[in-house]
Amino acid sequence: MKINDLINKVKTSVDSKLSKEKKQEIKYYFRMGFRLLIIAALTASLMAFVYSITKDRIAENELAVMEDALEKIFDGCDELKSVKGDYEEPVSAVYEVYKGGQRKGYAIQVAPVGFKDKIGIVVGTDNYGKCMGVEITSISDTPGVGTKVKDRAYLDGFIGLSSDSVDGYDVISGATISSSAVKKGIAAALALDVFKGNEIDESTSEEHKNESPDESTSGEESTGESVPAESSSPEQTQA
Amino acid sequence: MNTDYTKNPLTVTSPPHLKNPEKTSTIMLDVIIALLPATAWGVYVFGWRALSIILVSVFSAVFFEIVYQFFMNIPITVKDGSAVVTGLLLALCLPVSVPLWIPVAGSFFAIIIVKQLFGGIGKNIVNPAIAARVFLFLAWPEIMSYYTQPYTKLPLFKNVKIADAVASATPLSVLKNGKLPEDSTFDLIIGNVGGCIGEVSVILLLAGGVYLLVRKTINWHIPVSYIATVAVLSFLFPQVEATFSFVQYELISGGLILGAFFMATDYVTSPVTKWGRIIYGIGCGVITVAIRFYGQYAGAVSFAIMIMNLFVWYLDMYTRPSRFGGADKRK
Amino acid sequence: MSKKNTVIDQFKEGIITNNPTLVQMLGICPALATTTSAINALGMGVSVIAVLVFSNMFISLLRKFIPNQIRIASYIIIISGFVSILELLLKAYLPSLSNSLGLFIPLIVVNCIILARAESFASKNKVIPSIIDGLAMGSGFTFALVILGSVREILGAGTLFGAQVFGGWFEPAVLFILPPGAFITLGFVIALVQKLQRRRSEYVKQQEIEYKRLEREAGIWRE
Repeated sequence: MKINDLINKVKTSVDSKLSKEKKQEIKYYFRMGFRLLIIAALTASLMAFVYSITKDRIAENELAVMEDALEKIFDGCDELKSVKGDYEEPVSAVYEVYKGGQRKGYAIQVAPVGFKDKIGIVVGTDNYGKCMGVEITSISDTPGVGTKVKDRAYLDGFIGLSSDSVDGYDVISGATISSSAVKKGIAAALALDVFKGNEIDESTSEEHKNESPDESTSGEESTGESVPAESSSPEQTQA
Repeated sequence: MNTDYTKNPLTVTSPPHLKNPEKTSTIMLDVIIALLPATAWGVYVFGWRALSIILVSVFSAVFFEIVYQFFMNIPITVKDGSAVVTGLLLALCLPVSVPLWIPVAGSFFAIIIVKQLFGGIGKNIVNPAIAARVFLFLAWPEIMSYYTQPYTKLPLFKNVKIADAVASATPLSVLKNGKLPEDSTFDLIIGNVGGCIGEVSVILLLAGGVYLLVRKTINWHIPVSYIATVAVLSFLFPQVEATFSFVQYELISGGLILGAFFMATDYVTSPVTKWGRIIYGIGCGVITVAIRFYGQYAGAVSFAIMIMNLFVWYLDMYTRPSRFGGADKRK
Repeated sequence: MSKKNTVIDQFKEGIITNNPTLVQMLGICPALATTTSAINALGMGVSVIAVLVFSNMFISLLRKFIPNQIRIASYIIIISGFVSILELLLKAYLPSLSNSLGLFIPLIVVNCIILARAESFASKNKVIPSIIDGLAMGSGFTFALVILGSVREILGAGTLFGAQVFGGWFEPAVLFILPPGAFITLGFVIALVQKLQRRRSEYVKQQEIEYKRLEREAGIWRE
C-alpha cells in the first residue's frame, strides 16, 4: 500500500509539472529503454548460462595444450602449479613443474606476435632459467615459410640456452619475422625474475647441482651460505 | 590504309595525310633490339638453359595472348609484339635455375590476368612483366631466390637440382648483409656475376638504353631520375662504411639498370608529362632504396616500379600542363 | 527480394540466385580471410549458419517487441550474444577449429550477411520462414566459402581437406594461401558466377520469347 501511495504521489506531482507531449516523450524513452534492457538482459543471461557450462571444459583444454607440450619437454609431469605474478607481454603465464614431488623447473607460456598473429609457445626451463625445451602450441603464420619455426632441429637448438645466450641464436633466413618473434618470446621467458630466488634454495638442499644461472643473485633470503655470483659455467652451451 | 597519294589525284580521306611510321610494333621491335645484347650475354654467362627459359617465356606469352583473344572473340593482336616483349622481359628477370614451368606460369599471369583481363594493351594498370615477376616471387619464394654461380653448366630442360649447381650469393644480397661484394666493379659492369638472366651486364643494358634514347623510344626523364635518386639516397644513407664504393655497387648491382631503362619506361604504365615522369622516377628510387636498405628483400626494383605504377594516373592528373589561354582546370 | 513460398525456393535463392557472398557481395571479409583451406572455410561457414539461424529465429520472435527506432541496436545485441555463445562452445568442444579461425569468430558479429538478413527478412517474417532463411543464406555463404577455400588450398598447398591431391611434381603456389591469392581467387569466382548468371538470364529470356510465340500460335493472347 505504501509503495502505491508513493507511486501515486510521484505520478501526480510529475503530472502537474509536465505537458502532455513531454509526458508522451518520457513514456516513449522509457519504453525504448525498458525493451532494450529486456533484450540485453535476455541475451546476457543466455551467454552467462553457456559460459557456466563451458568454462570448465575450456580451462581443461588450455591445460591439456600445456600438458601436451610439457610431455615432450619434461617427459611428463605430475603437477603444475601456477605462479601468480604481473607478467608483461609476451609472457602470459608461469607454472611450476613438479615431478615425483620435486620441482623440476618451470613452464612458461609466451605469445609473441609473429608475422600474422601471436605465436603460442611453451618454454620449459629448469630451476635456474636454463631452457629445457620449446614447444610451439599455436601458429598461424604462412605455411611453409613462417611455420619453419616449428622445425624440430631449430627448436631443439634452444635447449641449454639461457636469457643472454638466446640473442646469439640464429634466425631462420626467409622466415626472419617469425623466428625472431620466437626468439624474443623465449628470451623474455628466460629473463623472468622467478628464477632469481632459486639457486640459494637449491644449494641448501641435499642435491647440489653444478649449474648456475648467468644473472647474479640479489641477496634475497640468504639462508646461510651466500652464493657468489658465478660467471658462465662450462655447462651452458652457446649457439 | 595504303593510299599512294601520287597515284590518286583525289584524296577524300580526312587529314592528317602524313603518317608517322612509328607503330606499336616498331616500338616493340626497338625494345627487343635494345635488349638483345644483354640477352645474348645472359645466355653466354648462364648457358643454354637461359635460352630455353627465354624461348619458353616468349612462346607462352604469345600463346596465351592468342588463346585468350581467340576465346574471347576479339581481334588477335599478337603481331604488335607486345606479348613478345613481355615474355622477354619476364625471362630476363628470372634466375636461370628456375624450372621451365615458372616462365609459363609467369607469362600466364602477365598476359591474361594483368594485361588482357584489364582490357588489353594500353589498359593495364601495372607493368605485366613486373607484376608477373612479383607474383612468381611471392608464390614460389624459394625457387625464385635460388641463384647459381655464373658459368656453371645446367641441364637444358630438366629441373635444376641442388646437386647441379651451388647456390651463390648475388652481389645485391651481399650488400644487404652489410658488406661490399667481392666482385670487382669491372666484373659487375661487364656482367661476370650471378643474378637474373638479363640484369647482370650493366654495360650492355646501358648500350640498349642509349639505343632507345637515340631512337626516341624512351626519354631520359625516368631512367635518369630513378638512378640519380638511388645514387643520392645511397650516398646519404650508406649501409656500409665506404660511402662511394657503396653508391657505386648499389647502382650496378641488381636489376636497377634493367628496371630503370626497360620496365619503368613502359608507355602504358608510366606518366606522360615531363614532371610526372621525374616524380615517378624519384618515387621508384625512394621505394627501391627503402626496401633494399630497410626491408626484408634484397632486390626491390620490381616492387618499387609496381607500386609507382599505381600512382601514375594521379601523377598525370596533377602534372598536367595548363592549357594555353584556358582556365586552369586543375585544382 | 520477395518472400518465397516454398522451402526449396528459399534454398535456391540462398545458394544460387541470391548467394549472399557471390551475388549480394556481402561477407567478403571472412570470405577472403578464412578460406586459407577448405576445412577452415567449412568451419567458418557452419559457424555463420548457426549464428544466422539463431539470431534470425530470435529476432523474428521478438519482431513485434523491438521498437523500430532501436532495432539496429537490438539486432546487434542479439547477434553478438549468439556469436559469444558460439565462441565459447567452439573453445570448449572444438578447440582446433577455434584456433585456426582465431579472431574471425568474434568478427562474425559484423558480418554484413547477418545484419542484412535480420533487417530485411527476420524482422518482417514469421519464425519458421526466418529459420529457413537463415539456413538457406548460411548455406549459400558456406557454399561460396568452400569453393574459395578448396581452390586456394589446392593451388596453394596441393591438398584438399588435408589430403594430397597432386603427386610430388606439384609445387604449390604459396601465394594463394596469402591475401593476394584470396583476392585473385575471389575475382575469378565472381567472374564465373557473373558469366553463368548472364547466360542464365539470356536463357530465361529465350524461354519467354519461345513461350510467347507458342501461346500466340495456339491462339492465346496474354498480357
